[in-house]
Amino acid sequence: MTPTLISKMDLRGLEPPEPMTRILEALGTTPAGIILEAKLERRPMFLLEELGRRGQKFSCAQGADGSWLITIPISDPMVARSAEP
Amino acid sequence: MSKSSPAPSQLWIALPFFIFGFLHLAGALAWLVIDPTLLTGAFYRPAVIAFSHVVGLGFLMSLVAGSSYQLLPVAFENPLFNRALAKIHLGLHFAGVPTMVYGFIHWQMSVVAVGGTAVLIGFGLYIVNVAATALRPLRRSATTLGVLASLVALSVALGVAIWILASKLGFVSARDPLALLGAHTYLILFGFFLLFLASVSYTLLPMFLLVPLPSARRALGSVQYLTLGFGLFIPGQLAMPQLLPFAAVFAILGLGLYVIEASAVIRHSPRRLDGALRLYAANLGFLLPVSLGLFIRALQLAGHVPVFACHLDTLVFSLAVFGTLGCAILGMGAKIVPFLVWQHRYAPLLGRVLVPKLADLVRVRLLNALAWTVPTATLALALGVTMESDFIVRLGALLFCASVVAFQINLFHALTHLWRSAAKPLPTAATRTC
Repeated sequence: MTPTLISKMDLRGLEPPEPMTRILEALGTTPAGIILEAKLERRPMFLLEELGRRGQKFSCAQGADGSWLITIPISDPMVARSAEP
Repeated sequence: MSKSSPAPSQLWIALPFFIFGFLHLAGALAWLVIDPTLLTGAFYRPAVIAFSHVVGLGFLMSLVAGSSYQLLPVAFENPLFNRALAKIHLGLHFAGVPTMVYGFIHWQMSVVAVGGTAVLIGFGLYIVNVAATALRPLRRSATTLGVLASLVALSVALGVAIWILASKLGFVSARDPLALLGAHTYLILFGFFLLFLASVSYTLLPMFLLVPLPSARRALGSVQYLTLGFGLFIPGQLAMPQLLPFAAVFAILGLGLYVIEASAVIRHSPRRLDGALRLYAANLGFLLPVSLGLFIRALQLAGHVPVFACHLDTLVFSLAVFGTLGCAILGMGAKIVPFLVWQHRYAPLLGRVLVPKLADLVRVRLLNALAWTVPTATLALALGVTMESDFIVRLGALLFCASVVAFQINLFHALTHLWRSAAKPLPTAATRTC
């Protein structure tokens, strides 16, 4: 299935680690097939590490205005939810 | 579309540096309570040199290293160059610093040399790691350029330290050991620590206060003036004392621009300062007396002003170390340590279970109180040094010590989350409809 729907979030102006929190929470609730796109003030170093740890695909690029855009294709959010505390 | 390789948490690199640093601070203050002559007596003696290394290496350098490995990748927007190097640095620092301090207390230069070699190799790895992180690729900013310049100052200060040690061991001759000691101390304090502080503030303050840097040009100017100041200071201290007033003027211009820029960030911020940031911001208040003391000292060394106060060096160092750097580093620690714990414990669970907010790991009232007690304790120390009063220094050290213990209780509260999770299962569909 090719994901086509895009869910956009503007997370600029939020104190760390709020942007990371919102993106990772969205990973657990966004339906499969949707692409999550988030705009951030700076390159989200800790979020990228966490996505790497989870084996999640993503792309991250800097825009002309200096902000960063991270794109995450959601494959199966239920996989992310399966872990226990 | 990329898929980055799984990276281990930063916790086990940064946190040990923080714990090591806070324990050294508490130890140094307890030592000061027992022996206040460390600040009021003559400074060129084994106990004072050991004490200054407990503070400089054990406290300040440990916390700067811990913060660097955690924060600089964020500031540079590049991943840390090499975690293994950071871990080796940690081991060498842990082994080297207590060995050096033991050697200084007992004035055994061969022991100092052994500990110093370990610390020196550790610093070498730190410099390579931080510089390589900044340079891949280099994103020009006041923070990046300032941190790189501070690494140069650190390298030169370490070179001077090797020279001092080699002369003590009889390998080389030193014409003026006190001038070398002064060069080493001022380079570490102003060239490295204060330049590093100003540079990282240009990323940290806007990040936490949610406001862009009001003037990137002014921030860069402060870094350039500070760099010029320590650049002139090296030949001034070692051979041409007439350069020292110019070095002091450039350093003061740099510090002045830093105060203006940091104050502008605070003024433009839409949010109120929390306890940690208030403690961090208190560092700015100490820079005026530090600058004044630095300028008078430079005039004295250049022979323009008679030496009227033998404790001026100690006064400048007390204000700079406990006031400026102490407030900034404790404030930064109050932000970083809870975040390290939260990131390690709860970030992997985000989106899978309900996790506590970062603010839940911090005791706000305690931090608000520290924003008052730490600067007050520093003022008492400075007053005690000025009046050469052991009683007032002891009082200041006691208040500072109590503040640090309270600070450590706060950190312990955050650390308990490492073994006692406060995460809860996500509400099920049935719970949500209820």
